[in-house]
Amino acid sequence: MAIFSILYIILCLVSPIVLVILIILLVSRKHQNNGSKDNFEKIIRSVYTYTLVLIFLCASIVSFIYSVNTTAEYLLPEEKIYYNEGSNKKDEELEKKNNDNEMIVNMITSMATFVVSLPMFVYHIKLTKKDK
Amino acid sequence: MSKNIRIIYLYLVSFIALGMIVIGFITTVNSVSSYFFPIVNYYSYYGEDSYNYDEEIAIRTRNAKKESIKNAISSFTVIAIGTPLFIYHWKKIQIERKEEV
Repeated sequence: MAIFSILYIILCLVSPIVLVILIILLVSRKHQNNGSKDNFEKIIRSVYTYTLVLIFLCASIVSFIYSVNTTAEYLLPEEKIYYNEGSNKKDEELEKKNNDNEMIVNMITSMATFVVSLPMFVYHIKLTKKDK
Repeated sequence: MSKNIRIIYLYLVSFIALGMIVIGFITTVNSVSSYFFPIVNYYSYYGEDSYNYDEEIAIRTRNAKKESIKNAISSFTVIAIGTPLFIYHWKKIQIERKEEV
């Protein structure tokens, strides 16, 4: 069963890449048939840059929204109600500390994602403009 | 045809290597921040009166920190592999472009 699941994962990872390569090859063959010969590198380059532009744009938007949300959650925490009067004080403290730590870690991670993906997006969008 | 395959290969490896660098960086930041702000999932069965509550919390905190160090090391390894891979293949692309021009 484990082998099948590994094979399934590999297939899921590899098949989109193979599909993209096939599409690129078909497009390039069509271009070569049309007479424009050295366009292949340009096609690959534009596929590469536009894919990265799309990925980094999505990443920067999502991470920005997520970091704003987590910051708001951290600054305005939800107050918890403990119905059990005899609940453990230390457990409550630990839970609060855990929640705070989790929020801080999420905030830092999403900010790091934003900090990385925004310059990457700007660089690659400039690259596409330069290629034009 | 072989040149076309080579171009695909160079861009594909650059793409994957760049992904490795970016994801490695993000996971490294995540692991380092998890080290400083560890999440200890532990709720005592016997309550705070349990006889080694504080000690157990301390052990679990240390374990969480160790786990985050391991994660940081593995993600840093991903960066360490991805960076030279990306630089080498991106330089190859640039050199071939210059040669064509």
